[in-house]
Amino acid sequence: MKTVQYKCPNCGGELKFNAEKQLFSCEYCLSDFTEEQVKQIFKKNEETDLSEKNADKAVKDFEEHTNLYTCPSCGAEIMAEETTSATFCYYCHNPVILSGRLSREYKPGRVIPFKVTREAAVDSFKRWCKSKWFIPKDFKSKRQLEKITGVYVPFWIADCKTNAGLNAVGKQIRSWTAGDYKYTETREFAVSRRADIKVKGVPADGASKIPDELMEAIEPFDYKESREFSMSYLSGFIANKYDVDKGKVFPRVRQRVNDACVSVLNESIGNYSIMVGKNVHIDILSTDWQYMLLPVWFMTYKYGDKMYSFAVNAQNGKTDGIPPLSYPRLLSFCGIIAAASAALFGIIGGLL
Amino acid sequence: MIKKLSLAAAVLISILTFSLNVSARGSYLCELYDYADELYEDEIENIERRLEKTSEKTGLNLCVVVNNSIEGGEYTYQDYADVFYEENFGINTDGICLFIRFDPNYVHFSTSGKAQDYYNSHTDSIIDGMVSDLRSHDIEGAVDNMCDDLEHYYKTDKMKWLIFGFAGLIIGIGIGIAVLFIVRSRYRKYAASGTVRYIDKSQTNFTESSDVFIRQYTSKVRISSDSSSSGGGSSHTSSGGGSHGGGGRSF
Repeated sequence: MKTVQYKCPNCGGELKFNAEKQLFSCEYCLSDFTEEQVKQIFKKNEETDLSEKNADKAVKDFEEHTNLYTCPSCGAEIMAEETTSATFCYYCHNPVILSGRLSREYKPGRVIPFKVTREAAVDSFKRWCKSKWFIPKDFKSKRQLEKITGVYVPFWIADCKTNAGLNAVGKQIRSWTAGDYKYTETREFAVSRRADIKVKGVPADGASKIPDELMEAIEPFDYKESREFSMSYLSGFIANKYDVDKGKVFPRVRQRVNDACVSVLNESIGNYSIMVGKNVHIDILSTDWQYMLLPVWFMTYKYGDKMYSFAVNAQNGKTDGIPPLSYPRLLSFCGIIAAASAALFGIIGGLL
Repeated sequence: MIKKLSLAAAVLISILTFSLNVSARGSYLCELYDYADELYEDEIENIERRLEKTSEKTGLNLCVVVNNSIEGGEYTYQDYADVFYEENFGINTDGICLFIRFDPNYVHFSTSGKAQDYYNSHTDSIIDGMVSDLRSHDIEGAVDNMCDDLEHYYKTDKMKWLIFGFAGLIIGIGIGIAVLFIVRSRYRKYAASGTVRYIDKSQTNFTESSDVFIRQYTSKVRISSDSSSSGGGSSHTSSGGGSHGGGGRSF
């Protein structure tokens, strides 16, 4: 997949965001530009949205210069700057078609730029594959490695204010032996906890095509490195348009907030052997949302009828995925174990 | 020591001077020695044929010796049979020597090499099968019964390989299935993600934290204990240095 966005003022070549240098680079004349320089150079085409004064202009710019591409095969929707050339779907690898512009509601608030290079992502994938014995040979092929794509994944970031409470009976149990008897002493306490807890920056991806558990597995992202969204960050990458809104991701966020609150409450309780009759209630009082694009190196692989996904956190390099399982390889291995066991027991039987 | 040397010499002389028949087929040998002159020609032929047949089936050296001139007790007969075997077939080779003596009546079943594994635990049963025939001086009948038993227990022992191999195969298949399920479950899960990292500790305030004592109680249970044990069997070394098993008794 290739995207063309900004032309180098020196040679007219393509400018791409270089994750390693954190600069915009020209592959032809090797010129480098900072974000500020790029913004100045392309002031006429793209107004900076860093200041609140220009916010409306930034939204307008987004609406006018962002194209939406749809994959007719899998239905994935991809955002790209208007000068983007023909692209392929990052999910099913089929050609995508231009399907229109994007409205202002899809403009992200912030973005974390790519830090991990494509080469580093490929290396991570190769390392990850090393410990997987039963993957199909083709999964590690060069052709497959070419499918690793840099994708900005749309995330809803939630800050939740909560009030959490816990009531239970805590039991302290101690045992000792005297003569022919074992004695057990139990002391019971009424345990009560109540706390105001702030759970901050809970991410939930807004792309239905990308597995939620996979995105959770490559967390965390450091939001301190996030920047105001600018079209320039899309240079060299594609972005997935969100198709799951705040309302739909909220149940997932609530579950994660509940888990976090329960762990805070549990940590505050010590010195009990067991807790019985535990009653926990968590009220989310308010939630602040941010719509952010987070950088991910993403790859899919179709094996049988199932699609397998692999992802690298392009900020910190954390890797995860579900590898396809080659049953012929696994069954051969199990067959060898069975034969070895039969031979071993046969020999033992003969020696007895 | 002198006794042992004289016993070995007696065995050697017996073998050199009075060998009724030695038949060899494949890697095993069959021998029959009738120093007591208890057998007729037709009986000798029948016993030879039967020993060859059993030897062929089991792959063991077989030797039957009838000698009424050996004096001594149970241990002398045992050593005679062990050394007789070693002199004929070599130390620790696979085979059996059956020693029979009349007036007083005594039978010893000596095993060597693999024959120890096959028959040591069945010695009593094999001798039981021969005793009634020996009491009526029917050596052919006794040898016939012994050969039946040797073939039967050899088959049972061979079955042990098969049974253990089959059990191993079942266990191996079980391990294979377990591996299959473990691998499959591992290839289905993403790494677990924590949520604790999202707690803002600077904005977490406990408004209530109490532990109020309710009650206390104590229970007691009587302690009981059990124990059990079990044991195993043995083999011996002949004066010739070979390892032998088996056993013998008067009849």
